[in-house]
Amino acid sequence: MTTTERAGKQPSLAVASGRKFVDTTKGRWTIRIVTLVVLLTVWQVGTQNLNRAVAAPPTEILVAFWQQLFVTGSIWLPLVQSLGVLFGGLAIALVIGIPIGVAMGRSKTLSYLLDPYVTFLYALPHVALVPLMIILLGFDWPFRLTYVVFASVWLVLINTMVGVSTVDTAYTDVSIAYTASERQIIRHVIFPAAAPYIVAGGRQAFSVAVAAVVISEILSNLAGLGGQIQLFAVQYLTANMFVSIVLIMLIAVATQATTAWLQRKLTPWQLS
Amino acid sequence: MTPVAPKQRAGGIRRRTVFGNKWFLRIASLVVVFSVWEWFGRDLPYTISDPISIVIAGSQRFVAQILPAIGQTLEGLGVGFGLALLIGIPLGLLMSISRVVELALSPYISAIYATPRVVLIPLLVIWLGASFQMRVGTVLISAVFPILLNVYLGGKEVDRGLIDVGRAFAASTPRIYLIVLRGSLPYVFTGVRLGLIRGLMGIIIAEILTASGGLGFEISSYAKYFHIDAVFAVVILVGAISMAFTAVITLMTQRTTTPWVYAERRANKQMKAVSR
Repeated sequence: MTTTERAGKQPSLAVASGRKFVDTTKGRWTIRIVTLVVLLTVWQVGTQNLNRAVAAPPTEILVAFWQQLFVTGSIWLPLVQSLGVLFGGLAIALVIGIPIGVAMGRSKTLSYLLDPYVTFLYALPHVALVPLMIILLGFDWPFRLTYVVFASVWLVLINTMVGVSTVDTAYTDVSIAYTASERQIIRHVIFPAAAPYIVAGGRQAFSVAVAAVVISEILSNLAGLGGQIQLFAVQYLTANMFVSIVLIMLIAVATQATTAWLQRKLTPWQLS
Repeated sequence: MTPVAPKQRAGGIRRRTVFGNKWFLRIASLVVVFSVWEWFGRDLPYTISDPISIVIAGSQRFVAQILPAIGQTLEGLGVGFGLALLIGIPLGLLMSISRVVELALSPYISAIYATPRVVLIPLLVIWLGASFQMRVGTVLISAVFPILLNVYLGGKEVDRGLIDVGRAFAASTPRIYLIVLRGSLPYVFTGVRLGLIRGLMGIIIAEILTASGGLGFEISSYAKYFHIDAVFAVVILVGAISMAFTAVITLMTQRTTTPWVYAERRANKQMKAVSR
């Protein structure tokens, strides 16, 4: 009580001068809309007389967007390619990562046997392996899929392992006392207890996978949305380039929002 | 963890202390894997190579090619990361302190943070060419958002009590900012760690994409001539650099945010020494 009073009398830090206005819904939206308008105007005016090879104004990007979506329809195939690799890769990463993570979390021996590789490969900036993967797998989707799996599997694995190994031993001891089999323990005790970690790992893996899709596309054979960016970049068609950039941005933001929602649904008791 | 059958337990504690020792298991696993790799890789020098050739290739090229490449990469990384700190920390603090700035910028910051920044690399190449500036720019855009976002989130989590005490003792505004920064230090370090790792990733992507020097360029040019052993040598080096960064920052984080853990550990060691 006293704190708020004092803060009210002495507005020096968190309280900017127009606190009341800022905290109303109207004030929030005013600020957001004003920022958006200012940004777009600056962009529009700033790029008006600029060479189109350097940057395109928002209006032209909108036109290019319309063109690619409905007139030429050239964006759909890359979009499908990207999303296919993204979801395929993520699914494979989950299928590989979760069982190994559970096994490593349950067995100390196994975790000591494997952790040198997991630690190293997780720490390695995976893009360093791209040239090698291209040699081994070619330029097409096997490479992109493998790269996405490789980039995202470690997060799934490590999070699962940590979640499983930090399950309270009281729970497992009780199950052992009631003669539960290892399968029953994993199914009914370990999974529910480790779920927040597994879901969190899956969520992190999802955003890494989005990045991995784009990286693999830019560095390989110009497929997918990343390929579109690179394709238009080498032709200096910046307006067309931004279409794919904006689309990837939308996918990334949608991914974040959906996985956050899923996380709340799946594990409402999650660690915050 | 797993139930140990009485039979096994009777088998002798000694055997378990040897075979259950974590370093024994780790080293044994590495020896086995590297032997298998050596065995098969010797006949496949153009696909998976083998550990001995990798060591030889790496040491032969180290002084002439790899060392300058490390220098170039670290130079770009250092400048870009420094800029990212200079921009990210003040802006993050400003966002956590000023409500107006927060409302205005947070949607964009979150959106860009969610987006893989690699989408902007082709644009940077157009703007800056295959140059040192381009690599610095790549590091900057990769590293600045994790730093900014974590400083901002951390600043919001700072204990209000600390700020109130500061104010009660008539601290000046810059001092209050320092209190906020100190209070959000764990977050700041998280941002710094993420930023540094992403920056390393970014500069390697840029180097592979534009062939403009550095470790990424070494990797792609060795790959082009099928010097797979040399590729592996550089890849392992990159992984080691990344691990070293993480280790140093983790150590710094623990030293500054939870120094009592260290004090406790030291005390424990002394206790052990005394009891021995």
